[in-house]
Amino acid sequence: MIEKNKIPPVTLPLSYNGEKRFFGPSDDFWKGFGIGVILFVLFLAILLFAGDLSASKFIYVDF
Amino acid sequence: MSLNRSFALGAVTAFFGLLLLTEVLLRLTVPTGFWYERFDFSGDLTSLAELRDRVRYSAPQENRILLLGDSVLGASAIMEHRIPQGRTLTLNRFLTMGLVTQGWHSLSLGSDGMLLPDIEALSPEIAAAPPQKILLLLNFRMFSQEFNQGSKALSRNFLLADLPLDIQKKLTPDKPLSQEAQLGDELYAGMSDHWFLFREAQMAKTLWYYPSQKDFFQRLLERMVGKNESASDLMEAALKQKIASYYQPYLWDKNALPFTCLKQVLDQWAVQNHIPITIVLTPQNRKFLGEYLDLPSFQKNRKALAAFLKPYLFSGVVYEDWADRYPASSFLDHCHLTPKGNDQYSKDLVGLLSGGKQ
Repeated sequence: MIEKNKIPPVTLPLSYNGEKRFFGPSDDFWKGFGIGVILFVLFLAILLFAGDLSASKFIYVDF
Repeated sequence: MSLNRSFALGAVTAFFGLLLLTEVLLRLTVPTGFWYERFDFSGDLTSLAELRDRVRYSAPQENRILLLGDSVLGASAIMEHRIPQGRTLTLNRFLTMGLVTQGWHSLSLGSDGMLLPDIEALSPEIAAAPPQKILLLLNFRMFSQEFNQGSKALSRNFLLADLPLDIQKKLTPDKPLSQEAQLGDELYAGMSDHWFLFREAQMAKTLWYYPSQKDFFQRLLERMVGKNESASDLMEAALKQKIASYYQPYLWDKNALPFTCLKQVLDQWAVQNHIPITIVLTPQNRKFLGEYLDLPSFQKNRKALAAFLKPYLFSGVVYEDWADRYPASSFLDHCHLTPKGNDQYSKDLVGLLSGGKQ
């Protein structure tokens, strides 16, 4: 028996002209955004942990 | 995952958006003193831009007392000796606490390895927010032959531009810097000047890589495998070798750079600006020095310094020679004090700054 008022499921297109929709939840933009955040954290870690102090040649014990 | 235009746009937006956000956040918070209230950046200076920030924002400008000196103010020796909570047991920290009770706000620009040309170079920067009082802790190292001329007489190259030309000429390295080194210095200075995140990251690094990156990793290793007890004798022997030249037969030359710079500092601040300056020859540990100490030079140099400073005693300068003030048990090495020693030293200094007879 066919239920009344039931809308048949519709599959929305995932892409237009071969490229995915811009702001969809599984969009490439957000994947890229996540990668951007990870890259920024890595960049911050490099800034904070790479290299010694600028004045390290003046430390009082160094051998 | 497909690497298309949307993906790239997302990555670029996140990266540069966060970069911009951090920069804006730092530009808003640094001038409020937010970071200086929460973290102790004393003990090192990483750039001219940092110095300017600290002069302007790290302590209230009213009732300000400026602390100048070398590693005796900071935590390097305490941390080298693996004393827990080292940063809270420094002379600077005890002094700051003691001075607050007297209504003073201290600003410490004392840094490891600081020499008198460095201190003179601070003058134009200090002028942006002059203190009401200055405490200058002099150490034997500052007058030693090893550091009285050439490029070694200035501990931080970024301070060179703040020195008068005649002094700059005396500090020129024997061998000119390579193009790469010059470019590196210029790039570092440029980034520190214009990019807050870079500047603050260099400062933040001093919170863990202190006194050096090597020491940081050594501390980590010691936590995992335990301390090598036999290394402490080796450390002491190496330190003695390093400092031997500061105490060996050599009479301080009053025409040498350290005295020229000291004179200019006193002329500018005490004579011309009438700012009271208290100068203390910092305590020394004769027992540690043993045979490395040439006693006749030690005594003559102290007398020479007192004689040099005598004319300034009429211009609001107070000078105290405390080289023999504390017993050997108060020291960690030749001049750095134990936490208990720092506590006592700070109390004595606060008494001196308050006008008490010591």
